[in-house]
Amino acid sequence: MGVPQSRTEMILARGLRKEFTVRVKAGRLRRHKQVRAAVDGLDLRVDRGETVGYIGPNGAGKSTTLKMLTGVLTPSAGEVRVCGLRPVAQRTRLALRIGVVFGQRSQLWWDLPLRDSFDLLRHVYRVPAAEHAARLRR
Amino acid sequence: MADRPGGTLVAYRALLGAQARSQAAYRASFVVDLVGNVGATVFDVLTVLVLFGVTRELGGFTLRETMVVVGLSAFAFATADLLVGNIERIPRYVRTGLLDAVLLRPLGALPQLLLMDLPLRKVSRALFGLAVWVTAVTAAGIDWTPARALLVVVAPAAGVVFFGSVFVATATVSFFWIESGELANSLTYGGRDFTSYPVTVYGGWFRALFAYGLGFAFVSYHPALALLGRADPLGLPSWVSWAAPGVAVVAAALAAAAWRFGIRHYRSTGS
Ligand SMILES: Nc1ncnc2c1ncn2[C@@H]1O[C@H](COP(=O)(O)OP(=O)(O)OP(=O)(O)O)[C@@H](O)[C@H]1O
Ligand SMILES: [Mg+2]
Repeated sequence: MGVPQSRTEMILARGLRKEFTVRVKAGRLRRHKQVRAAVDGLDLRVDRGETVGYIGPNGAGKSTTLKMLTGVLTPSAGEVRVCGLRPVAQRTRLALRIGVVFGQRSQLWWDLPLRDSFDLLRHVYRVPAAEHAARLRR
Repeated sequence: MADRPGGTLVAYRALLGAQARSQAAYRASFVVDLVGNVGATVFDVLTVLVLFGVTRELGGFTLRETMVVVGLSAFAFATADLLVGNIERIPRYVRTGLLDAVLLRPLGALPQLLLMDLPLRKVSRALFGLAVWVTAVTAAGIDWTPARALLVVVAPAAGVVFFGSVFVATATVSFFWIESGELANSLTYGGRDFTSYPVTVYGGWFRALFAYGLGFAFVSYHPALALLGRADPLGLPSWVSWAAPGVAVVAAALAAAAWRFGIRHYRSTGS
């Protein structure tokens, strides 16, 4: 296990911000660029053992936040640590320690039996064979 | 969870195995694909043979000499296309969420994408390219030295790395500009056509750009000169003909930097 910065801090965000540049219509033909903040100055601390809900209307920035916490998106500004790791720079190390589901269609291999998909993911997440077998039995 | 040293390799091998099994599941169509895919590469080689039906020399090179150039180009392109070519599907990976999915897994994003979409049917092309290469160097009457024996193995590998780098670098552009496929194709397929002939057949700014601006002269032309023991008719010093491996390393470093830049600026999808 990696050593978190403090004993119990699992997620820490300070002034976390993500902006997207979008092209918006201006008049009939012209478009111009506009910068929009999807997440604007988020401060968040989640300690070990805490269960936290993160709610908001459509487009509030929930998915964008999660993507920054998992290292999929690089923040435009601010600081973020998860399990004491920097999500973008240490993405693969972090991915071994966390579980994320984004309603992803691409997790399973459609041409393979379900059991093979699980077996494949066992290798991807380096789950020992015995532990894997025990979990499947459940 | 501690990561054992071999764990990452085992994981990549498992991804490759899954890809192989899912393609072999449709065995009949796989065999048809395998055969059909040799087509384009055979055509490239036949073109050269046909040209030599009407001329004895091409840009100052005989048939046997030109075949060394063609063989190297055919093998390097076909193998890079097999291993890395599908990376041009990045816009699709973004749209379907596959790129997000691989970024959430504890493995490199690029190797995962390549292994999960490896077009195994293109194996036949790479093997055909290899056959042409072996035939060409056997027939070329090479004056073998230890350095040339080494180059005969290193040059094809360097060519694969070079074309692979071009595939990755041009695909990275589509992170920022979705419709960049045409540009990418003109560089990859253009590069394949360019490297099929000695650079002496081209002229002017076009040769300068493709041969040395982009570095394609180092895929097949310069290694061929070194193997054949020929001085460059265009007057470059002879050490340049041995520079292919170094050029490939530089190309790979540039492509890796471009890929990392692309991933850092990846926007994901908005929903
Ligand atoms: N890749 C992107 N490019 C441009 N804009 C984006 C992108 N991703 C998100 N956005 C915008 O950022 C804002 C926040 O989006 P986000 O997906 O994080 O919201 P959300 O809270 O997850 O919403 P939902 O409940 O609908 O899932 C939205 O206005 C969205 O349109
Ligand atoms: Mg969402």
